[in-house]
Amino acid sequence: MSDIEEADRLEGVPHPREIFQLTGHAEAETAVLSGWQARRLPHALLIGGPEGIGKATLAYRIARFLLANTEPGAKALESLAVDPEHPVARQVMAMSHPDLLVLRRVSPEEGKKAPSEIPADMVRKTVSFFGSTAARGGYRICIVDSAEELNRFGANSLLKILEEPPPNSLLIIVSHSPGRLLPTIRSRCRRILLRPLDHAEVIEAVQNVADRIADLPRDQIGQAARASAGSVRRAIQLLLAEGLEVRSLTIEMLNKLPQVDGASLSTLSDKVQRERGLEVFSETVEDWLALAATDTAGGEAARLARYAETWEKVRRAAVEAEAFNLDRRPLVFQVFSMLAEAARN
Amino acid sequence: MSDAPGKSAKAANGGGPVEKRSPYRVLARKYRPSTFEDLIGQDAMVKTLSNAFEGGRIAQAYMLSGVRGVGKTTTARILARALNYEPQQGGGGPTLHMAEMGKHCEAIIESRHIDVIEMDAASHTGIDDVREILDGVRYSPSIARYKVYIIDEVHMLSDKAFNAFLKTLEEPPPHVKFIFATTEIRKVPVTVLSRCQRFDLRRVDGDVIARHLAQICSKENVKADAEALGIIARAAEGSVRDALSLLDQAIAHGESRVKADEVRGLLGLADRARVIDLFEALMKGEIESALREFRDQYDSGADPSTIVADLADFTHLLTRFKLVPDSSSNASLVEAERVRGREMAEKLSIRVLSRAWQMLSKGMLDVRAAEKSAQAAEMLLVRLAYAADLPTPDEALKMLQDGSQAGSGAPSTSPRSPGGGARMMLAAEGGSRGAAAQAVSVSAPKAAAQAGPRLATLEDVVALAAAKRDLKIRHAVENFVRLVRLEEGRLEISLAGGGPKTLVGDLSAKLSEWTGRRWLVVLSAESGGATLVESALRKHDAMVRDVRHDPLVEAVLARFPGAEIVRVKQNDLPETEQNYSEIEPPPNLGDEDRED
Repeated sequence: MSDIEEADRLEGVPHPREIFQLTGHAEAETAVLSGWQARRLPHALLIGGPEGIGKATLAYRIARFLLANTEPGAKALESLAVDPEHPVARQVMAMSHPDLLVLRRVSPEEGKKAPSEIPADMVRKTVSFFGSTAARGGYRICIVDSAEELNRFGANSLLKILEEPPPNSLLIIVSHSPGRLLPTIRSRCRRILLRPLDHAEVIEAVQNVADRIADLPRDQIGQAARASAGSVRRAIQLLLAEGLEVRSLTIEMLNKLPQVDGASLSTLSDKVQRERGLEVFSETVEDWLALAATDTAGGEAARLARYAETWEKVRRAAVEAEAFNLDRRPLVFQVFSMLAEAARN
Repeated sequence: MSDAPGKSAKAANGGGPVEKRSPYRVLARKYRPSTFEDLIGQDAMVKTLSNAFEGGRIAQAYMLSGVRGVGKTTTARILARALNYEPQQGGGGPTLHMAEMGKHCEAIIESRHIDVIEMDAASHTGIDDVREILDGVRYSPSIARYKVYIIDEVHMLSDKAFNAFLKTLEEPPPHVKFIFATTEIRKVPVTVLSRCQRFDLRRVDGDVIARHLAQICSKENVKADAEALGIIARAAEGSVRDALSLLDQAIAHGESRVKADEVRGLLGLADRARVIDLFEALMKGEIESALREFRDQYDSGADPSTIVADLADFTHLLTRFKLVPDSSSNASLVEAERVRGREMAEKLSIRVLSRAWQMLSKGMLDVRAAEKSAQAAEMLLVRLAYAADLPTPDEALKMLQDGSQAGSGAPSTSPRSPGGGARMMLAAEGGSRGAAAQAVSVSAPKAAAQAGPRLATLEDVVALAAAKRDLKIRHAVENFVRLVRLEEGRLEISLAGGGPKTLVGDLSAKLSEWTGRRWLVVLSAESGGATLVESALRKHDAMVRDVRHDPLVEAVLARFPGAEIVRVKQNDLPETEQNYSEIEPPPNLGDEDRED
């Protein structure tokens, strides 16, 4: 397993299929459970919401549950939980359950890099997957994680099966922004929109996996959760690789605007240059600007609009830097000069 | 599991346990039309086809295109059925009037007829797949009249596969008919297109879909709010299949009744009325209440990008209300949209609406692309609300004028050029007779009396040169000639510094040639007046000064900080004058203003 790159896994962090506690989203879980008990589960679920809040965790949880429990109403169940020692849970964890197909970006063979999108050939597997009888006689489940990574061919090949799948099939489509999907995919699915977690839930979720992550500074979990905007993924990212440091330095400098201190600017730009620094930096700046722009008590409309405009510019600059793999140091300088200008006026 | 939800929903509606055993089919499959009478929204195509069938002019290949779910595959199957229609008692020929099930109909509808071959080109893209088909073409049909090949998603075929088709497609045996269906007609080579009769299936109107949904609901014994069906019809964006899938979902979701709220929840839509509230707050420039409203909607489950899309839709709706007042009777609109929409459409100008639309449609992409879509949407709203506070340029002017100078923008101080009439005359002489007649009748009655062009001023000379397209002379006269005296047949001038010495001779020759009279051009000892360019610049200078002190302009400058007077242009001047203003002023003259 070690040589296979899984693009849906944060390095060094347990994969959603290996996580057995779902934090938050109780309502969504109950809806699925009661739908199943009433034999009214739709054939396609679209789980939408921001990155890192547990969409895939919920998807695997549903899959495990449906594969492990065959007869609705046989016993009173209160949640979708499945014992980690249950054979189905083990098979799902090893990705070896015959009735579960996961479409995701993963390297085709050992030692190769994961493709940049989910290959259409992989999507076409759904035809034979749903065309054959379920190996265990129950549900056949296909998880797409995430739908944004499907290309045009892949997304289109999914349409046919999404429209008329055979009985006892379930497609679970995970999407970070359902608005971006093909409208035809959206209209064929039952939507489950998940919300960002609250502060306590992020802490709980991070602590649940903390044991399984090496070098996780436990004492900073609270701080990271506050900065995470409800995303567990983001909180963990902040905890690893000096994310919090970049963030606090950035915020410190932002609060001094329109003054920009040259020495700390250069320290910051060096840190941003490193791995994941850019992501943390641009998110921090965007959050700060968004807060400034929506602080209706704190300024007149023109000021807010200026911040909103700067927000857009910063976002664009960060996206470009990422896309063209530009040097990050000038980006930091550029961003701060834009910010200083916005703050000064 | 597709069958379970609908099935149990129906069971709940009194179907009973017996029904549970029959396999459930989604509405889109269950109500797939099997005759052209049932097909909705494609009247033009049906008319053409039925005329063709009646006249026995049946093409050998049809190409059906259109967006998803408007009836391409359905049409293909109906066509296959019509081509092979044979009443139970035998006889008959191809017809669109299929009152009863014919011999082959059932099999064709269930796509299992031996002579109707349906191929999914998306999964059989290669040349070998096509060759397989072509090999079968030469054998005559087994039981039906025609062998019909339905090739769906034909745009996915490879180039080679398409080319393999060409020969057969051009001259197929008489017993073979091809029907192609595709969503992306542009990917089909023209060589294929030109061999087919082509039909573009339209998107189905929202109210047609809504009516269709209502019919299906009554057949299914499901109660549904008209508003809910309207929402579904609109969300389907002209695709019947999308509408039916949504209805399926809504029926499975709602207990016994399709309600508007639930459909909205299902689609992640915000209440239309709330979208209107949000739009109103934005247009009033109330950032705070707009943001609060957005947050509320977001917290109650609406998707940010859908909210933005809805705002853009509503802007579009208002624009339509303004331009086409009738459009408010559309059945897919809810009451709130109709009433409040009409109200707002009256208050907002087209310019404000189109600006809002621009910002929204650009912002929509950003919101979709953003990971934190709520944040992106908020930023967009802040800017939108701020922009609503800013007047559009023409509104600002109107506000400033404040009734005192209502009417056309340009002040009527501009002196009419004395040479105007003559200029027109010259133009008439210069060539086109039609223009001459017009000019004469409109503004220069005395021109009729004049035999040839009369040159009274230097401007007339320039105009004549312009009419004769002699740029060199024109330029020289404008820049270097100082007029001393001008009378019929005699022009006294002095040359400004740098003027070509040959000008005198050239001018004399050209004028004589153009007017047909003898002209004498002499170089005078007197210094003469200013050249045309000089006087134009001077005039312009004075104008800029005047304009700057004009209260209206002053107010504009104060209102838009950073605005500059770039150029002064008078609107109602005849062409001659405008020609002068085209002379580029030297850079140090700088500020001019455009005041129209």
